Amino acid sequence: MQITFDKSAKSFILESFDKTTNKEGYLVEKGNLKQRVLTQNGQDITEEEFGGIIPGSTIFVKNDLPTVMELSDHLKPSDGHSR
Amino acid sequence: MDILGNLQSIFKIDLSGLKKLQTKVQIIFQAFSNNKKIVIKGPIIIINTNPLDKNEIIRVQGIIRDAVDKDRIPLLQDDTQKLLEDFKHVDSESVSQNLTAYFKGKIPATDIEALRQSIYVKAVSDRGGDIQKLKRDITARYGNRGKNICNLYSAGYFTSQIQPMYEEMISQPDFSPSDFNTAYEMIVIESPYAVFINREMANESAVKEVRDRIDTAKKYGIRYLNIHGIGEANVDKIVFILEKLRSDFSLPEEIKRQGNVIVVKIQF
Repeated sequence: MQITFDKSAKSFILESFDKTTNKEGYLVEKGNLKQRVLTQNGQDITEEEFGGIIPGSTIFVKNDLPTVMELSDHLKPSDGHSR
Repeated sequence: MDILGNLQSIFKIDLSGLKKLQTKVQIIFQAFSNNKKIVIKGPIIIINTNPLDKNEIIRVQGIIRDAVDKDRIPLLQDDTQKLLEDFKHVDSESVSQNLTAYFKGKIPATDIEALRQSIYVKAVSDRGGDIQKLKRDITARYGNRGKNICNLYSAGYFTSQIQPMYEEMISQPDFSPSDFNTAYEMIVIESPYAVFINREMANESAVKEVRDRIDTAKKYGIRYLNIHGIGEANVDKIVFILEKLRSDFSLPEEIKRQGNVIVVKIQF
C-alpha cells in the first residue's frame, strides 16, 4: 500500500502528528511553537521543504534530492515500500 | 481493524474489492473545494480533507498516524514520491551501479553520494527535464564540492579523466592510494580552474582551449589554471601548449608528474 498527500493537504498531515507551521514558515510542535521539528540530520524544515514522514521514530523528511537518495537506501519492502 | 476497514467504517463505503489488491492500493490525501469526501478510482482512494467533520478528522488523522507508526508505511508528498521512484530507477541502472561500484573505497563516501545524485541530475537533463532545483539540493547538502562533482560528472570527466587517471596511476609500480587522493582532491576542489587535455584535441585546438580558458578566467579575476593530461600523447600536447603560451605566464609553470599523469599549474 502506498499513502501520499499533495501540497494542499500538508497542514492536515502535519496536524495528524501534532505539528504546525510557525510565522516564519518552519514546522513546529503544535503545543510549543518555539520547538522546531528537525530532520534526522538536525536540520529544521520549512513547510515548503516538507516532503513527508517515514517510519522509525516518526522521522520528518525534506523534499530534496539528498533526502530522496537516503530514502531509496533505507526504505525496504517491509516498510510498505517496493524497491 | 486495518486501514481499509477503518476507512470503510468512517465513510460507510464498500472497500472489500480493494482488500484483494492490498499492495497495489494507493491512498492520496488532498484538500479540494467540493463536498465529495472520498473518491475511488480503481486501486486509488482519494480522500478530500476539506469537507470532513470534526469526528471524521480525528478518526482519519488516527489512521494516518497508525499507518506510519504501526504499519510502517512511509507517508510522502506526491512530488517526493515521484522523485523517489524516478531516482530509484536511474540509480539501479548499470551506468550508476558500475560507476559508483568502481569508485567505492577510492573516493570519500559522501562523494559517492554526490556522484549518485549527479548521475541522476544528468539523466534528468538528458531527457530535457529541469535540473535547477536538483543542483541546488546537491549544493545545499554538499557545498561547492558537491556542485563541482555534479559539473565534473555532467561534463563526462569522471569517466574520461578521473577513472583513466586511476588506472594509469595504479599501473605504476610505486603506486600509493594517497597519490590518487591528492590528484583527485585537486580535480574536485579546483575543478572550476581545471582544463582537461584529451586525445581528440589537435595540438592547435588544445592551445586554443587553454587560451580561451585563460581569457575567461581573467575576466573573473582568476589568475591560475591547472592543465590535466593522461597518457604520453597528452603529456606531449601539454608541453606544446606550454611552449606556445609561456610568454603570457606571470610565473614559471609548476609541473607535477606521476608516470603518464601530468598536472601543470599555470599562473598569468
